[in-house]
Amino acid sequence: MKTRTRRHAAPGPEDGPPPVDETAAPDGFVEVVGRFAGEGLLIQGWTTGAIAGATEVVAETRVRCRHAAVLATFPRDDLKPGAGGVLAILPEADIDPAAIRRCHLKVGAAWRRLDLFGQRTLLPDGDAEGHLRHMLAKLEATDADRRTLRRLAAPRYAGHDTVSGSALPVRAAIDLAVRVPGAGVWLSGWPLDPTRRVEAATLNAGRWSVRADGEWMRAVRRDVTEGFAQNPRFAPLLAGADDRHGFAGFVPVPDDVAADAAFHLELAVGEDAFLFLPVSPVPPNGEFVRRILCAVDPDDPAADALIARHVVPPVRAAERPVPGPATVHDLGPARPDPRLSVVIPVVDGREDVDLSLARLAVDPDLAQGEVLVVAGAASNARLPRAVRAAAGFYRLTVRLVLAPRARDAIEAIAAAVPHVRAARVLLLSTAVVPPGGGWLGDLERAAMRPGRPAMASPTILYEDHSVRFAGIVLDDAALPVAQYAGYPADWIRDAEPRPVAGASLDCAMLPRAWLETAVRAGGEGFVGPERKALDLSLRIAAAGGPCLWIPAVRVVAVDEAPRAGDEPWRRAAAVVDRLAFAATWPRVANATVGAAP
Amino acid sequence: MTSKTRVLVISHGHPSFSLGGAEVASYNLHLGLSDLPGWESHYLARVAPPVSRHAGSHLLSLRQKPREILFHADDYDHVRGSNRNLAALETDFVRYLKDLRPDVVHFHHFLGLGIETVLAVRHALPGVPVVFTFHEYLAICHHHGQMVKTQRNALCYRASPADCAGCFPQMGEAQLYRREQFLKTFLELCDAYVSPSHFLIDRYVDWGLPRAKFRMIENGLTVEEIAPPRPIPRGGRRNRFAFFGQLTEFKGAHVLVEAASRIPQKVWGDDSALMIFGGNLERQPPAYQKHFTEQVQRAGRRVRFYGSYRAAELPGLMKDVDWVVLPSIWWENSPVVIQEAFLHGRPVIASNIGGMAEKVQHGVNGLNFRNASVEDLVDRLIETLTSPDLWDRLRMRIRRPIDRTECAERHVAVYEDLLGRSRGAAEAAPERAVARPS
Repeated sequence: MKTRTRRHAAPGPEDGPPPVDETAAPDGFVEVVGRFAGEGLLIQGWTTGAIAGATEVVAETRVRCRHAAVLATFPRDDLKPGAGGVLAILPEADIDPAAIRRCHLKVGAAWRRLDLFGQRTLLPDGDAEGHLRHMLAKLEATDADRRTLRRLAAPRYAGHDTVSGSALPVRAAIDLAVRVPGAGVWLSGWPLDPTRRVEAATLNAGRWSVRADGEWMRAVRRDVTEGFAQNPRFAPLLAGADDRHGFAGFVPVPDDVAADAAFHLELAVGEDAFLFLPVSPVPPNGEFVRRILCAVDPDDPAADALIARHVVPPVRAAERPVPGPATVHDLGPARPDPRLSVVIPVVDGREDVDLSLARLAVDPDLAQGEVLVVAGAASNARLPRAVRAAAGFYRLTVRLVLAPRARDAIEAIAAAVPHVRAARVLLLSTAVVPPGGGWLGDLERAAMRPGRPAMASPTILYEDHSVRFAGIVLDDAALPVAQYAGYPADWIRDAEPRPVAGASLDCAMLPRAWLETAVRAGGEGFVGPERKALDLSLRIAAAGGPCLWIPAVRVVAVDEAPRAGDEPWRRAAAVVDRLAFAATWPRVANATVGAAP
Repeated sequence: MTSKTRVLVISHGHPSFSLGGAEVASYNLHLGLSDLPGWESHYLARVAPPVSRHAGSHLLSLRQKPREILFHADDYDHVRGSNRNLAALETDFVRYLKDLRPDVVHFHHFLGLGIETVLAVRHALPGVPVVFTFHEYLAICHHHGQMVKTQRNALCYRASPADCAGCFPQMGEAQLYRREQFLKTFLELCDAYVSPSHFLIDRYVDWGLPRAKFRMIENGLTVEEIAPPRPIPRGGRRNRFAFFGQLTEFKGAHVLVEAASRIPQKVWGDDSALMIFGGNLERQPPAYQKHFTEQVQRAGRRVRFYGSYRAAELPGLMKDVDWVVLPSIWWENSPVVIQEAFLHGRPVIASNIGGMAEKVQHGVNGLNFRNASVEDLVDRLIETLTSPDLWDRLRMRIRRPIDRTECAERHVAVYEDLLGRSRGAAEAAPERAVARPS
């Protein structure tokens, strides 16, 4: 896909032709001047020896500006032998036709001076296209130049839909247009084109344009076929045609295209006909990612390539965590200088976290500590009241952090970081049931070894004693895998603490400074929480914080949410995350130390 | 790392969740291998809904014993025997294989797991011998692996796409041929096959698998307690008959109940009894449920219905039993019920076909009756009730079945052979064990 941004020639004397003899007779005259809608200049007149093709023209106003031009010729029987009509198009010139005093036309290595004819015609703005259309039949030009001239002669986008009322058997509509800030525009919709008239689709915004249909994804849209099945104009054309009318795709848009730019889709139908469809992108909302994932067929043999091209960029941009505002309420006994901060993100609809708080309250290793309960976007309205009551009853120092924009645990953790007061942090998922018996102290000693701090996670088991987490390691292809996941706990009975590529954010002890650094650096966008958590863990590791797995410390975590289904959009999401992760961590092996034993 | 030879036994079900014969046999092998010095066995069994899996992995423990693990698989194509979730095989199953690094992998079924698991093992563990035990004819026969025709449950003697299309006309020869070739593609990758009966070997050889790869090894029992003979008063009769098994139509309990009903009262007497130990009647087709229930009602006091039982209860139940009846109307393979009956010294009255005819020799360790023939079974039951010394004569000739340790030792001989350190003990399959039907 080639992006095309129109450039202007910079004016200046040095851009003009060589000095000419002002007293000599001109080489011809300019008789018609006009400006195309938007951009471009038409100059028509006559001279001698002109050759159709690409050339240069200096349109002299107060200054002399040199412009690339397409020159066509046409016969004139009212001129002396050797002279003929010329029509030059300056596609990128942005000049007021009335300001032109004369022109210079480059013919071979020489310049021809064309003075302004006294009775010249100054075409009104917008009439240049019509004049060019009128002249096309008699113009002599190369095939390529003729296509350019036809394109210029074609109607321009006037801000409204010209597809719906077209006499051609072409219809189209945009179902979804989303402008993802910093990335581009997602488009999905359908063109109905049973006679294959549309040759190209170009997305335009002001001076910027890009071919949009080169690689876009196609989809079956039976509804479109059915919608036109009774249309007398289309019905005969649809017999036997397939239903793959749908399209979807992502079009990268450079940052210099204004955020509020108006877009339109230009459909080239034949050599000199164009249809226009306004495109009004909206900002991404909460459903955006799921909608575009639904547009992908994960079973398509080319799914990886299509997803990488069309889905990964907008998803990464749209899902990139953005720290939102948070408010803090201090509950329970005041403790201005806690020794340890436990961060518990709550991103589901539970009404309380009483088990977590009760377990922590009776753990002597949390004495002099604080607990940050972070209420994310989906948290229950009754949670604050329950936390307040629990803080008082359990005599726990609790900071309730309300982070209404935090969509998941990672964003909730990010929202909590500025409010963490201790130098040591324990990240603790609500799924984890804190055990008794000094586990916190064991984990803290492993994480805070003098001179060798680490981000340390314990063994996390499911309630049936299957391994849920025993370190993230790298497989033979340097891809991260959860080692021993699903194995019986007995499998790791005698394991020793060891460095791993990633810790678990469900339960991890680490220095606050590392967490601050990783959160400040920002994260990449992933659909699933697993990759997002792994991304943060790896960012901490890449920032210099080694990760440790402490097998002897065991906690139990339960799957409370129903397991996600296997719908196609979820499989597409998994592909997106896999590709996005590979792009983010291309050489994760070099960034980390863990490897499968 | 130990210096023990490590075997991974793979089963389509764990006895904790599915108490079928193959599950029990595979688990007994696992236990038997674990008992042998120099050998270490691990057991991987498939689980499926209603057991749910964890979000993070298809593997799970469910608090089973050490060296036991479960693999959750619920996307299975019953026609091809194919696991549609190949990604799960490639990730979790293969990961476990690579971490475990067994020296031998021994499959006991592919049902639910998918036959592709054989290839997954080959890819993950090149050079590691793969053994496959057949417990019935599922690879050969799409009709629940019974080799019984879908029409009137007639016995099937030969499987071919054309023959099978007679049972499944909606599928057609082409699809059935593809099914056969798909399964063979993976089964042929195995280094050795084990069968608990010669009859089953013959069937698979007829189907196209090489006889040279087969070994016949009986399933091994876990022996906890031997039930003594039922005490009877002087002059009393050995007149307690028992059926142990699932109440599916193929198991033929209806044949037995009907036969018991037809025995003349003067022969049956007042204290004879047919005891039915079996469950899952509620899962059978409604027509069969109705038929069987009506039969039992007609039989009146002659039939006592005890419902399902646990394996650990068997010795206790056997104490009240004289004869075990196996009236299956399908071929069977090597029914554990026969071995258990023999373990406790109970003669068996069994159909005269397939694995039953192979294990129960008429007049030696039991009696045979013509398959599915109520009349013939009536005659055999009358014979038992009217021949005072028959029970003792048959009981004396019963050979004790092998226990799980003996079974494991015979498997070890196969493994040693495959590992190139043969002790020459593995028993090769004979040329043909059971006469080809005329």
